[in-house]
Amino acid sequence: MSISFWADILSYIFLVYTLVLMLIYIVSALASYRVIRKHVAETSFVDFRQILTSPLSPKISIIAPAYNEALNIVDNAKSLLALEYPNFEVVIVNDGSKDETLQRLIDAYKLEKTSFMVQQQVECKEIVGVYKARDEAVSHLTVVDKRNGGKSDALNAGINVCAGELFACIDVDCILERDALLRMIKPFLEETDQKVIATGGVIRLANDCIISDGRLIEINVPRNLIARAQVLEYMRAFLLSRVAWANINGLLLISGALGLFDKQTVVEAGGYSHKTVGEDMELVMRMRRMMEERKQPYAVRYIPDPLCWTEGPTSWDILGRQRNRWTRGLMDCLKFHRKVFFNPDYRIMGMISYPFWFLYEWLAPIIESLGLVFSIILWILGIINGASFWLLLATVYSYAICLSCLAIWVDQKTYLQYRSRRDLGRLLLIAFIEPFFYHPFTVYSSIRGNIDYLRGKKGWGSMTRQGLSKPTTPTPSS
Amino acid sequence: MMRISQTDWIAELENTWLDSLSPFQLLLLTLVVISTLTAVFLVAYVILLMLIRNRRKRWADALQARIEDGIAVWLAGDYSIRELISTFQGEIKKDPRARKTILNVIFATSKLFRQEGQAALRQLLTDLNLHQLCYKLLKNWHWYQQAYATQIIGQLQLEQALPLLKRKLKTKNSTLRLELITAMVALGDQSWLQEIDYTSAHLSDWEQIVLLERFRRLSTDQLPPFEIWLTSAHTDWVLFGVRLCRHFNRFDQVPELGNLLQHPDKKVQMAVLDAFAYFGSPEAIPFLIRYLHQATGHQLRTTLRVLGNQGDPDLVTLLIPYSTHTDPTVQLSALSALKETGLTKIKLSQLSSDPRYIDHLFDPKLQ
Repeated sequence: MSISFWADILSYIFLVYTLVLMLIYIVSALASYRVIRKHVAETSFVDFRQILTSPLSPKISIIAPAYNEALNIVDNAKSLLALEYPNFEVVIVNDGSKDETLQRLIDAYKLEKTSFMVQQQVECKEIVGVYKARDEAVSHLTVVDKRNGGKSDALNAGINVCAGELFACIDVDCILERDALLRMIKPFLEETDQKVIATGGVIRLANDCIISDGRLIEINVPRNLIARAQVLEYMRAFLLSRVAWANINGLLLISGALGLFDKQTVVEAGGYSHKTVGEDMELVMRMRRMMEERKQPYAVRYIPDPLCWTEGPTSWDILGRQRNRWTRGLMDCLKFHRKVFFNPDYRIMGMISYPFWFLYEWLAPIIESLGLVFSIILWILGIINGASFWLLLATVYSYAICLSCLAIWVDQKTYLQYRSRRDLGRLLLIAFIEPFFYHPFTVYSSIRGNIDYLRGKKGWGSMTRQGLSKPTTPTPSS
Repeated sequence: MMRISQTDWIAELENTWLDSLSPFQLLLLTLVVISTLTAVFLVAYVILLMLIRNRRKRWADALQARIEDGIAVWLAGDYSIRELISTFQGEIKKDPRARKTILNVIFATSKLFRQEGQAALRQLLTDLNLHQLCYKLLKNWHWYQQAYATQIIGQLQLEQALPLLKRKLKTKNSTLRLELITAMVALGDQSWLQEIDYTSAHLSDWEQIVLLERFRRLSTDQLPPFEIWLTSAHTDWVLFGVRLCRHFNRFDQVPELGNLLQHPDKKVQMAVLDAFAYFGSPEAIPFLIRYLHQATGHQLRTTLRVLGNQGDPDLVTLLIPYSTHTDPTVQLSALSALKETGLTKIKLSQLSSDPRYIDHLFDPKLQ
């Protein structure tokens, strides 16, 4: 058979793959919009402050691992302690920081070492000390000092120390909406037929937003193009995809930046894994597997409200490292739980979620790159159909813009986070230019992640942050 | 120069372009066109939305301010109800959308008054014929419109709507159901008690929190006779009954609650333990002792703590065996309970093999 025959076959494979991916995206986007509309309507009838005075609200422990965070740790702790919830504690885990993280907390809150007896429920490195405040006003703050073991190890230490029925794992440098816990607890309280094992929330980028005393004062679209492209990417991912996945109970990932978990289920599943850099996704997959194997009805829920604001990378170098790590984490998760792949015993997880992550989250950048290489080879061989090639590119480009516009439209129709004409203009502009500079880079980083994974690279790599913008101190006259 | 008519030009294009496209290319072309048109539509929609939203907001804000001023002047006695009605009717005549805004403002204002102060606003609502709008909303297809109308009906006590509310009680939408129950309680109708118990098997913790908070705002004589739920066939309603008994200090229900420690549902058992911990009533001790022998895990630890909180020295002999239990968390609970009964640090140290338990219990920062 001739080369052109095989070229045709491969072309059709690429085409079918692309069309299926486009179909999945559009279906999930429409489903998400429907769910978000319903959620917003429902939420308008809910006075979340009712929980604030309710004796029935379960205790929540907020676990925030900190490593070399001396610069902002006191402000971050202040922000967490000011959250609105009637019955919660904040557990900051100092993961063997080399700077003054612990000392700053001790000084700021007049902490004292206690004789706290730690129940080793999940594996973690040695806990050197557990500190509590003398001041009654911050009696809900606990600081755990432990040997360095990485984020997952610090989270496990927090699980061993915390007293809540539920725990929220958050990145210490994130800005949470004051009522984030009140909103996230709702799915746990609503279900009667099944156990909610975890709830995730929408993460948004806070670059160039104005923040004061741990509160978001003004939301802006970042000036930096890399950060701005991420704003759009997060909108697409969180507003158009995850909501739909949660709606069919198929969510496999709850971002490490913000998640609320049922402690008993996490402990029974063995806590966070030390073997991967994708510990957030791995935990959710392991919990789900455990529940499926026990044949217990369960759900992983998702709150479409923007609850958590974080700083996104603003340089190619850091963005590349982040995406590299995400890819390696994903590959670990897919490898550890390969038993689930198209396994009907695991129902939605086995038949839909895992295959999607395998075929369209992990494989997509590889297929995309192979498609490009394939086109170049055909070009060199002189058997490429120019019209088809340009049409395919135009299809992908116009579809990408369409999806980005849909994400902006959903945001405008529901949460209206970006209100000014300037912000809207910036978002629309980035929707048109992002496919040329941002998307190729994320694909490249993902391929690098695959190569690094095969070479056996482990670890997070350094993630330098610039710090979120803060307003200048107002003068007395102002 | 040769002139080509429009029809010829299209035919020409079809010949040179569309005819030469393969089905594969045609499919791609269709996708490009659809995606581009959708994107253009969405961008236009978003821009239009932004412009309309700002204009509408300005209009609504101005109207709302006028209505609020009108009501304030009327409530201060400077306006008669006739003058107010004629002003509002003028607004409605100018723009029928004002009806909804007037309804919203009356509803918001009514929240500022106690029950006896609602009569004047109810009168205003009826005179403006806005109660009919409420009934219309109650029949609306969207549940959230129904829920909103129900809120107004409950708040302004529009008794004529009771039959309509009763008919909707079988709804599967929990938000609407909560509003219906709240409205019916506000209207003093208790018929929902029977209906809801038999029509809906489930009452989530969320619904229980919301209802409890709403019941807390009522006077004792307005409360529904919730003790009947202790014998309900539905676990969720039993659980809610127990929680309400605890919250409204129904000490007289201790025997019934004690019997519920034998209920198969662990949440009910835990709610009873919570109620007993709150009551601190010695009448609960026999039930707790009986339950202690069958409880495990979290239930066992809680029972030990509840018994310890009784501070009864007679319980020491009962609690001591648990201080050497195989589960360290149970040991800690037992030692904590023994401490509450008045045992000294030295005596507790003799009971425990691990001094860390005693340090933990007596550390003032961990109290």
